[in-house]
Amino acid sequence: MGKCIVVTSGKGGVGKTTTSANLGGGLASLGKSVLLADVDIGLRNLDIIMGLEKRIVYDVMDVMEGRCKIQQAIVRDKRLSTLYLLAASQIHDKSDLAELIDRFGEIIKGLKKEFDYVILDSPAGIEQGFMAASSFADEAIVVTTPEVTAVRDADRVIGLLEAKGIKDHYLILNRYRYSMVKSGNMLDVEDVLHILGIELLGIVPEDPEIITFANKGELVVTSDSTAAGKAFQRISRRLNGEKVEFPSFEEDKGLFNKIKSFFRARLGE
Amino acid sequence: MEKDKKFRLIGSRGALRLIIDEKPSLTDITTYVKSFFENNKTFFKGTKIIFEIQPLCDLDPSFIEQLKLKLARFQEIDTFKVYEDKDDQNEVEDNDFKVYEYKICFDRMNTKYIFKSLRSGQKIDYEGNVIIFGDVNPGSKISAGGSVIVLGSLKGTVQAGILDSSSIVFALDFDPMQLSIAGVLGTLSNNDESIIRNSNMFAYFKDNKINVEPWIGRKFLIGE
Repeated sequence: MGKCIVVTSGKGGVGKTTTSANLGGGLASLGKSVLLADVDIGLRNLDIIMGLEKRIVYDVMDVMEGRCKIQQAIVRDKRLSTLYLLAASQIHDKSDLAELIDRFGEIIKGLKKEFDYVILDSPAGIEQGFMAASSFADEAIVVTTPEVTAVRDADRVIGLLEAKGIKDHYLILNRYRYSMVKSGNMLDVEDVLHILGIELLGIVPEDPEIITFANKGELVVTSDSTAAGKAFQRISRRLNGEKVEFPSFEEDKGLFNKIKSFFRARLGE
Repeated sequence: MEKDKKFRLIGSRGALRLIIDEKPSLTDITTYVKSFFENNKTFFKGTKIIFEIQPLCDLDPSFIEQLKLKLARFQEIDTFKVYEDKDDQNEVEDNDFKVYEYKICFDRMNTKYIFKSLRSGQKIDYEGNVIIFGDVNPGSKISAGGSVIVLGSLKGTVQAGILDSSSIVFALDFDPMQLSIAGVLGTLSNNDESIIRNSNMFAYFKDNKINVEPWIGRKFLIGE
């Protein structure tokens, strides 16, 4: 029987969808069969990040309302043969999902029999969409950025997950910038962990390559040369049960940038 | 708060006690009690309490009866209990040891123990004291009739002493979002360098304001 994991955050824009897609890709790269389900009904994005938007014919609402079979709605990824997507509906909204919550639960149950991992990309907020997504999850991954507002919302979400009986929840700290932490302008990992009090699954450094990859419909986890790609690879391995060390995130400037910084300092910039 | 200290209102097990030190006017007492219930509307919602009247001076029985009549209109009050017998008055008379014990002990109220941290959005309402073995995260709230003791970080909102103005708030890591004791609100300014944050601190109500001091482990007499 597979495992159902909900990826949630509370606050919007912290990187849930990016994390869901790249975790799915990372696990698939390790040979696991993964189904990514977009539960953000009405604001579908997972298909775009995976570059599959033109291949979506049926979505999760079509399955739940009986217009198609589940196999017709599941789309295989272009590059990773064991990665699949069940897209959200763009023309419905979250209340429609809430009305068919029992049917949604049956679908998830069925999917867990077919896949090693079922990853649910939850919408932002703590209303119906989040409630539906977290109702059938075995574990939760809470994504946050090291900002006070995001951490506050993450704390709220963790409280709600605990109230729902989801005991296994993990933290991914996204968009981490060492230079800002060093200058005292960003919460450190320890600060965040002190407030949230849950196990750290991984840290993803701020990396503009994520945007480049997302716009091209490619998963950054498939890249060995980007900081974010390597971070998602480590996180995927940890999620799969491997013991992987946490690296240092001190920014390595490289020789050229060090020389540039030296001259900038001399010129008083 | 209490008009020229002629009377005081304190909480005791499931009851509110009015201790009258000198004869006040009926209007002063009624106005004060009305204001007390209005300021703590949420706390008393759906609750009825016993209202105890304890005169420590000579008062006409007719004064007590008139007072009970005036206070009976408050829906928060279920019944009255009047301490008439001199032996009853000995419960909190000016006896050195009893006064000392009264000031250092919390047993005049029930205490709720919480063995987990409070997360954002979670709330505790309790008539007595609250002791938390964990943190009070930003966005969480505790409303207590008595004292609040946080054996962790206090970064949320605390309303203590709703029933007992001699209550304290203590935390191992003291940095509350908002703090009130006995209805008086205080916030720690971000720029207030005289307050040492993130250390053992406690707050108490005195001289009509909230005082915050480091906890240095010595005996502390509440209400002094």
